Amino acid sequence: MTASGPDDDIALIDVDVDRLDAAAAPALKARLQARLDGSARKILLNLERVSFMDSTGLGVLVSLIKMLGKDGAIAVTGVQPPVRRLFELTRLDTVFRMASGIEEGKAALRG
Amino acid sequence: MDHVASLAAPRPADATRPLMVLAVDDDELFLDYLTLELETLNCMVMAAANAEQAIRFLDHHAFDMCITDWQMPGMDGLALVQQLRSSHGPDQFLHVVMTTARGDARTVRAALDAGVDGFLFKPLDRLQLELAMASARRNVLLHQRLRRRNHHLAVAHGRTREAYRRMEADLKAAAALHRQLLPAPHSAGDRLRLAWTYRPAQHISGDTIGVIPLRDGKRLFFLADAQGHGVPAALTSFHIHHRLAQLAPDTPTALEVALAELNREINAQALESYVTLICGVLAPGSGDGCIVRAGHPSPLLIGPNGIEPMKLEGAFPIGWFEHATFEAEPLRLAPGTQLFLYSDGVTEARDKDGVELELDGLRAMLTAAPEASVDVLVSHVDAALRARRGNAGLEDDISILALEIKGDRE
Repeated sequence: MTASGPDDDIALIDVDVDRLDAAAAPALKARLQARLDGSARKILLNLERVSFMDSTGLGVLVSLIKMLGKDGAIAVTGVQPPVRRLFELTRLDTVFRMASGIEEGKAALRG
Repeated sequence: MDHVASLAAPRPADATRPLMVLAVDDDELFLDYLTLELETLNCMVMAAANAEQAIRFLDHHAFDMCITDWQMPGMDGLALVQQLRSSHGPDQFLHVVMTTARGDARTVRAALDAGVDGFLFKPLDRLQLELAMASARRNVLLHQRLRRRNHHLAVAHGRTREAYRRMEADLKAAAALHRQLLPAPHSAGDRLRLAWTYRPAQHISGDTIGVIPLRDGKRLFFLADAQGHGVPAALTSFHIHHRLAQLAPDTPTALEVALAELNREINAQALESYVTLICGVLAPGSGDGCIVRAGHPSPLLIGPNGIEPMKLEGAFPIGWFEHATFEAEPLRLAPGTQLFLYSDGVTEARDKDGVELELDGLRAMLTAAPEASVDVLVSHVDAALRARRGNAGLEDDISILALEIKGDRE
């Protein structure tokens, strides 16, 4: 997982695991927590490498929403079909701004 | 009482303890001399004048060591060693030394085969005896230490097994309690026909299924899947089941209120647990009701027009967000149509090559049992899922609940 420095108040986080499951979730959660210790309240998650997500992975994203609180916002980009289905099933698609690229994601968060 | 712990622990290895020695020789003078020498080397000696007497002593006393002559009237030393070795278990220890005037290779080979550990050659020399006794003492001490260690291991192993047995019994009891919550079969005159299958991947499951009678003949039905596995997931699903039965919502509004309440309860638990759920109220007389989909796959409607997932907006899983709401959507189950609820363990069931069943696979299984009653349908899918997994066993809990309303003419 890598994260680019905030050129503004948006933190871009590349989730660079193929399977976001119980094995990968703790590392992502720790990474997200470290990023949120700063001032970032807007997160752009790049999920283009994630082809599989299970309930634990989903749980990490939900805890991210809770960590950000009311003022926070999350956009996701690069969402592959199985992950999109999971978002739709659990209605997370109504919480995340679903974008089709980094720039679109940033614009969605700024707008 | 723990039968292993009740075994007496072997004595600790003590280098100063006298060695218990059985000395066997038909030569009274030699036996006397050997006894005296051994007693100066911190041994307690019992002297036997022949092999038969030696065997009687062995039957009644515990020895560390036996020093026997070879040639004796009656049973000779070789036969004595053969007999005591064959009557000893593999864990019993006795250091055996043979005294002989003969030192040829065939003699030594025969004694080795009989189970002799060492030789003392006559006439006996003090230094030779000291050497033999030092070696015997080391063997005895080593054996005692090993026995003691084995004893500790056996006790520890026994405790672990006992703890495991208790835990397994607890889990089985919890599983039995959970099973008691599962729906009773429909009665013969009931318009609502129901069938279900419930197969936990482990002893206890995060899945639960309920069909609960409400007033006016209505039923509350649900299939819930608490995320995660094992005891925490099972406790959460138990909580959900118990609370739904207690709240017993019988209208769309009551259902929405009940699920909002449950959502707050699960959310308030510090654990990161959540539950996906299909829950509805159905009036078997009219086939009308309402249904909530909370993060769970939509149930399938199986009817004359095919097999399709119910179109439901749905809501978040139970427990994610404190202030989430759960809109009850209309449900109408016409006679001849079946409502098929399933946990994701069904569509994610892998075959031996690791390929998931997915919705299309489930649909194909259902199509293979056309116009079947819910009982036949559920048994068919259950059998097909088990056949798919073969001997590999389940990775995830599998739950299915199917409902249909019997038409007036049936």
